[in-house]
Amino acid sequence: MKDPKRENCQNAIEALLGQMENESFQEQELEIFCQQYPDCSESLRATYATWQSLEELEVPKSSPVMDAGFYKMLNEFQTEQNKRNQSIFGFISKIFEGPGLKWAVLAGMFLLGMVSGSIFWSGQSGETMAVVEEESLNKVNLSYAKLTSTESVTDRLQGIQMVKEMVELDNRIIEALNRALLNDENENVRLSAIETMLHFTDNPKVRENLIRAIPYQDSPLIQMTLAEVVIALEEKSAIVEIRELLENQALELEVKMKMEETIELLL
Amino acid sequence: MKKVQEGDLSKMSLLYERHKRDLFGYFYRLTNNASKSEDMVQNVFYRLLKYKHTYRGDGKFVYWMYSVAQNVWLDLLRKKKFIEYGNDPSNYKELSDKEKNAEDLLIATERKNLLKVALQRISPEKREAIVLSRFQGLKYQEIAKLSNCTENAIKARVHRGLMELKDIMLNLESQ
Repeated sequence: MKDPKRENCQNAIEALLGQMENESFQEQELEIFCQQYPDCSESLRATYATWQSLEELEVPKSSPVMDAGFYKMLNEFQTEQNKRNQSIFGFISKIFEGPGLKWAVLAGMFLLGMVSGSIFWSGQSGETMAVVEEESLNKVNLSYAKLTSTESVTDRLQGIQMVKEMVELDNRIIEALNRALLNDENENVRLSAIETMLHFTDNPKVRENLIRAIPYQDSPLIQMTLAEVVIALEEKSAIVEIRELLENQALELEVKMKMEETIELLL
Repeated sequence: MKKVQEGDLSKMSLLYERHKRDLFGYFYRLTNNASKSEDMVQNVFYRLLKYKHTYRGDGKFVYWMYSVAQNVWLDLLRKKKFIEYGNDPSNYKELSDKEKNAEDLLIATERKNLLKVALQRISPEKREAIVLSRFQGLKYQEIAKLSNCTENAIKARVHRGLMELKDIMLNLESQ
């Protein structure tokens, strides 16, 4: 036989849980529940206290290795997709090799071109393209201006974040990111620059800048991060820079061990 | 996600940047293991890319992402290769040392460690229901749909999980 008091409390707790899933839930509301269900107030308070205590659970930051792994995987997917597109193009080319079919397909494509061309030119596509290009250029300029801001750390961080949204980087931006990584006095800016550069590791200049920066870093956090980056990128050429860092700087023991381990992994 | 489905895979990096922290937090709270959680985040995005054509776009992207994440988590449980670090409080310390997570070591108080241990001791289903509702912002109704059960069953799971958590904490603190 069911215990009515226990069943009542079960309902009260479920109702409380239903309320607690709203972010706006406050402790005063718990008191209302306790007044409403006096027999269950102990269970209600215990449930709320445990729920609240979970707030103490902290999560560390993920490492740059996770980002490097993701972007490497994304590059592989993109390369695979490009290959597939090329093979479709190859298939169409083969069709053209048959003489009779070739002319029929050509005539069809010519007609299709005429129709789509007239639709294309009757619209505002040219203007739209110009607007898109201008917007993109404005974005690059704004990002560059923020990145090179000498006064505000927030601006520089915003500038770095904006770079992440770009599909390709121009030399100005690559250089500005490199300067941020090498010279910025703020550690968060330097870390953020590394994180953004990881998005563009398919660009040889960006990869090179990440490696070349190693001997110039004096922050243990940045040194360790760059070590993780070169491990993830499997950049053997970074061994020279790591050795240079080991020779020229009095490193913290943990960093020194990490650097030696990195060399071993890369060899 | 629509753009990704249309072939613009670079847009997946925006989704990754937007959700990587939450997803990492989800796995970290479930496993208490940072490097394993990083692998699992990557696995989720691998599946999102590979099975992008299955996204129907009739619900929130986040919901789809967590349904994939849940499968990654269940696969891990099925393989049983997963090392439970939570059974002994001293194991957690060892894990932190191994991962050289200096920041974590600094902020980790005894109570926080015990709480992590306690969370690992409750059943995976209850742990997941608590994590999804407490930290990932999913409603009970959504968790129920993900877990293929009723909303009341999820509430009961959360409630029992919290009670077990409280008892385990009391037990650990008295040791």
